[in-house]
Amino acid sequence: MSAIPVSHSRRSIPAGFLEALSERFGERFSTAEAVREHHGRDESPYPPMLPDAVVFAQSTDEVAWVAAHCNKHGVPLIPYGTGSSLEGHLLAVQGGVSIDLSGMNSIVAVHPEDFTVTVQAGVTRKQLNEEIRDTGLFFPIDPGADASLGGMAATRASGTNAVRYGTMRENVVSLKVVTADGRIINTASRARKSSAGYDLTRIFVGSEGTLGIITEVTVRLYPQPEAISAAICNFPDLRSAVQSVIEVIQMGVPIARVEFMDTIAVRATNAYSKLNLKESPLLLFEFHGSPAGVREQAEVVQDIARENGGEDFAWAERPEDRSRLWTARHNAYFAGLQLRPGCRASTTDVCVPISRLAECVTETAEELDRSSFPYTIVGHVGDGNFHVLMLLDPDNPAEFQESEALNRRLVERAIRMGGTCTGEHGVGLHKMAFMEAEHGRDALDLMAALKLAFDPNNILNPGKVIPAPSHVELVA
Amino acid sequence: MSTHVSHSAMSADFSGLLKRLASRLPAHCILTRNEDTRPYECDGLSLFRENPPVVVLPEDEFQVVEVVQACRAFDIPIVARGAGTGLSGGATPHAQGVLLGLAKLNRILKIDVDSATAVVEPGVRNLAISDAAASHGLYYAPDPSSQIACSIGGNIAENSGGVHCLKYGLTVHNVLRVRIVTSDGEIVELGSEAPDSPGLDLLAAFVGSEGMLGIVTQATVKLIPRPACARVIMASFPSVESAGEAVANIIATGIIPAGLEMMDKRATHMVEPFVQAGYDLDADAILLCESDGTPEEVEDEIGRMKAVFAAAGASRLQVSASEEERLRFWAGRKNAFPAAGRVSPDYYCMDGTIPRRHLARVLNTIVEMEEIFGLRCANVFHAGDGNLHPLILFDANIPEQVDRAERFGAAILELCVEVGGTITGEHGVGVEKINQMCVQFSRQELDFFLALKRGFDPHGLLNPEKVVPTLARCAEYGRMHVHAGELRFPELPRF
Amino acid sequence: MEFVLSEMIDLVMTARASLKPIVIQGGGTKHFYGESQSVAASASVLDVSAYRGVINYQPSELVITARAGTPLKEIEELLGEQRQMLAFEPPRFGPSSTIGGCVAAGLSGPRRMMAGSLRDFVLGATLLDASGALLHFGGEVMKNVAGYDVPRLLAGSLGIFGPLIDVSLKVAPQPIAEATVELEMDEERALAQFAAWRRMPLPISASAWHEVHGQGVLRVRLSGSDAALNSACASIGGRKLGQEEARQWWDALRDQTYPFFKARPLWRLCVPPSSPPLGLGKVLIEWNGGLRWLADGEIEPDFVRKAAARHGGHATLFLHDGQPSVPVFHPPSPGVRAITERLKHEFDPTGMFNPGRLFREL
Repeated sequence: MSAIPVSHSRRSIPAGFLEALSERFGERFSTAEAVREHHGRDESPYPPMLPDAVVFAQSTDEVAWVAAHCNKHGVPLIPYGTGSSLEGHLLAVQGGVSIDLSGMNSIVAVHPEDFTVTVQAGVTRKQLNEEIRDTGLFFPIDPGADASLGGMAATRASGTNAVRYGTMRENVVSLKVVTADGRIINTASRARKSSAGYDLTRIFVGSEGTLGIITEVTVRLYPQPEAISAAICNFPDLRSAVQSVIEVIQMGVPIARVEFMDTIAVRATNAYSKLNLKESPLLLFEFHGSPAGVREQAEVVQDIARENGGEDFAWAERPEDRSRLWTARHNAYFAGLQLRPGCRASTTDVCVPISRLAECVTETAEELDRSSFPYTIVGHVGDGNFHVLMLLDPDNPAEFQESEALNRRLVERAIRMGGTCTGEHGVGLHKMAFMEAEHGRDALDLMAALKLAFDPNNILNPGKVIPAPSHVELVA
Repeated sequence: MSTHVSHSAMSADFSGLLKRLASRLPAHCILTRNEDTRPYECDGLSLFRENPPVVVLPEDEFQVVEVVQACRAFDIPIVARGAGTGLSGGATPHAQGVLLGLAKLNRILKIDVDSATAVVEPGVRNLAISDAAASHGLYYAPDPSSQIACSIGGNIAENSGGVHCLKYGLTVHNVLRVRIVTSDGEIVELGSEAPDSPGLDLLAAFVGSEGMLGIVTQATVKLIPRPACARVIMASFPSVESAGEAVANIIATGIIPAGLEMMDKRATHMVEPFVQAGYDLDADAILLCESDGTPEEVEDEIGRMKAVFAAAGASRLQVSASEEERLRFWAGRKNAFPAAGRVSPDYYCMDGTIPRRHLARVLNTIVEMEEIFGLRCANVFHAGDGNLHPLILFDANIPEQVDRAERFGAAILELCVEVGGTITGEHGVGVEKINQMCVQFSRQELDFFLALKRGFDPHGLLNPEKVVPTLARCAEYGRMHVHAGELRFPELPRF
Repeated sequence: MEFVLSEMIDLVMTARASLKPIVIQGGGTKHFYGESQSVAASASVLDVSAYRGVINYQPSELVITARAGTPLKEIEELLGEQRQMLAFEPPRFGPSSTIGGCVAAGLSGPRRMMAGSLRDFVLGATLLDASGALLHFGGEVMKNVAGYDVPRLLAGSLGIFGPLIDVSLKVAPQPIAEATVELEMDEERALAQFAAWRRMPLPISASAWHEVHGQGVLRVRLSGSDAALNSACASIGGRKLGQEEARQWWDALRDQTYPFFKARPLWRLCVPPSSPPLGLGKVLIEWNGGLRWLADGEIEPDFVRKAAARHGGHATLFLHDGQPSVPVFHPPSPGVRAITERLKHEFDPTGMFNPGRLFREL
């Protein structure tokens, strides 16, 4: 039940290749089926595609050694963080070696005065924030899974507070990368800005392991908010909700989060979490700042919302009251699942310029209303990113086809409106089919040229991100 | 608020219940005639009355189980009652329920001198336990003012305290084990005679649960040696503030008095003609501070207490020289309520707890409220633990005074919460303070209480509609306040 | 701390939404106590130690309110400065012990019989519940019967209803003076002695009997005014220990650094103090007979439990190596078990918090 580009087949492993790895890494090398299975799957709907072997690295030098070894023998090499990717990023479509970086989990250096921290790629966001808590700083990007910093950099991850704090694109200062042939480079200095040469950092961020293996990440930190408050507001329709957000951003209000839920999502949440929210399109806000600041922000937002037809604005300052509002945000996904018990959910992830958001969602919703399955829509309005949650019957392949077709049309719509096929999840396997439509053949050719230059033997996570020129889609 | 309901209209449920009870219990244990059930229509809170359709007075645990099982079978609620001295309506009958009186379970089953414990039935009077243990030099410490009449079962239901609870603890600190009948009709023992028991401390949750989680049929309580000697200092202060400071200093010095009580001027004037204890009528506040222990300990402690009081500006200090004098000093305090009854046709005794440091502020605010509500209020205060008993004086024959008294009371309770205290220190919530529960607790906290009840009493059979208000009730009471000047942010809608 | 609290609430809500278990951690000094939680790798660890600080301390009100992650050490030092203390003398198994963990474990120390147990001193607590709500129960006053006594129920609940966020505890003045005497006698005599002393107003704040080189040794700590101590010591007799020797002894007992506690398995029997000698093997008796530590590896768990139960007590497998074949806690009666399960289900419907810590199946 998956679209697998037909050009992939497992590459053969030369004699002695695995033995050399075994000798070098001992217990940190495994060909056990269970271990390979664990490293052959992620959170995507694809069935596992197992690597031939797994290596657990503990240093950049070890990663470099493995890269050189794989490059010499033409064996694929796939970096593994925590396995939380969503689009088949990790699947060993051509077999090869999975290099697990979770053991590289130390904080290398903290520079509070510079607002940066350097960590090994296996450090998770949670771990990072615990370690730097006493500095009064935090790392705000939370993709919703316990991802590793290396993985987050590789997929240009973002979280629900990107509207204020940005995504990995803005927040990675520098990377240490192992190239395909086993060289080790630092992509940039720690200076806040630089005009020295090509921006290698930006090239690797989002490259999903296809241009190099990230072993260290230096990220920007932010001051922990002194006060946090939340607000909620109902709107007559999506258009008025989005318009409010546009105006809020134009006013310079530094909102930390603004989430949108459609009426169906609200209804589902009411049922699931026993809330009493008014059943119409809903915006959930979060404000960070000083105690007076968050109050002022809420005031401005309330005014703007009211002017746009918003109703039932409610604001919560104390943690006791905020939780109630946050419940809606946290439970949206699972509340949605309850709309159709036993279903399998397929999520879309397009992102469009904010000015086209209302239109895109409305058109999509009209189409979805005519579909044969339930759905809900939630979105990060501040970024123009929204997710359609399609609730499918796992035993009905026709529904899956329908959802894939709807997704395809949604992506085409988004691209037509100047947007992208993936706001957060990355390309992996699943979105490869859309790359040409989004970027155009010429840009894709440039990307292919870049890939060739960085990885002439195509050993780094082959079969991902960039489709081969004559790409044929086969549905198994 | 006073309702007298005739129970002549009996539903089919009750006939079935009565039939079943009649086959299991002696006839004299079951009361249905108006004149027989009337005495049970209220507890110490006479403002709330409900003539129960049926009163059952079991004689042993076995019969208690029968009643519970019968009520369960017919889905009829049960309100348990000890001596009926409670002050919050915990034993106010349910209009469609059985009033279960435990007074006949009044045996002291064992006084165990070696372990210094007593095993008692719930109807045993508080003072009776100490009387029975006296010959062994032991006594049961918690001494609510009604101890001559109140039952240990009721004490457990209300987590009663008393003048000596600062030093000797509340009921929860002095009960080791209870044997209860749950709403399933099962017998469960909570706690044990060992210092602790495995798993959750369900005994702690049970004590103070106002008859809503189970019915006590037996309890093991702790006995302690009677101190050899006790003496009381009576100290006069020129102001409430200085008295409050004296209290704070006693504690700060590291003294835990056996008792530490305060009376304001109005209270003193109210009681002195009645008891003639020699209270200083000029003092704005009087402190009674007791020390007990061996004669040497008491001598030492009294000396230290006097020094603290003198330093805090006491205008007069007297130390009891004999047991008779000690009891006389206490008489005024202990008779405050009857004295109030003498000076006023009716009085409404409030019960809140506040952090001690806010005492002056609270008392001064109450003086202001006297003007607003047009009623006098005398105050006695368990200074040792911040438990305040304002006595609002009124005349129930004047209907609008009843209303004013209630509103005055509610205002005082809400003031207690405002200064970081609680709406009830020892009398319990019962029916009386259900509305104020909406002020002290959030909806989620109240729902937590309801969930706790379901954990013990999934069928909702025991003393329902007491203590924890429903969402509708809180909304009705007007829980939503819109604070002046902050109208732009109305309080969060109740989800 | 606002931010730290937000993150904790977020963690709970995220875990709840994704139906993942949460393991609550304070200072990590009591992992050994209770069933060892074999939790899935997907469990989130809620580290409360970051949420710390004393919120309110009023010596003249005899109350201290602190965030749950505040180190126990910090609290004891603060109280000591005002000549006050936590009267229940909780054990300190490591320097990182937090007050939240202390209350959640519910363990009281040598002073328990005279002063009261840990739960006697709990006045208030804030709980972070399964839906991410902050619930405040109790307060800072001892006399408080508004609603059910949730704070005392939470004491010793091992986090199964959620993490404690802050606690209010009653504190007590430190005793004016203390003295420890030592007498030689066998177990039976010691227990009889406790019974006799129970009827006398002796200020016994701690006791410990065990065998040292085949000789039964009873140590008794007396606390109170000098006058009281003098008459008590005269009454009891025995050899008086030096102040330092006494302090070290009671600390070693309280924190279980005394070699006796190295035994594995170590059983904790809690029985009515007036119970006779149990005849199970090598014991160390505290709490005037109410607490009996058993360091005998050969004994059948069933036998130990029956012996304790026969006298109305219970036996906990306090310290053990590896995976015990029996439940760690003495199985409660069916009635208590049923109520416990219902409460767990009511407050934590998805069984998210510390699954398997109190009972393996809960």
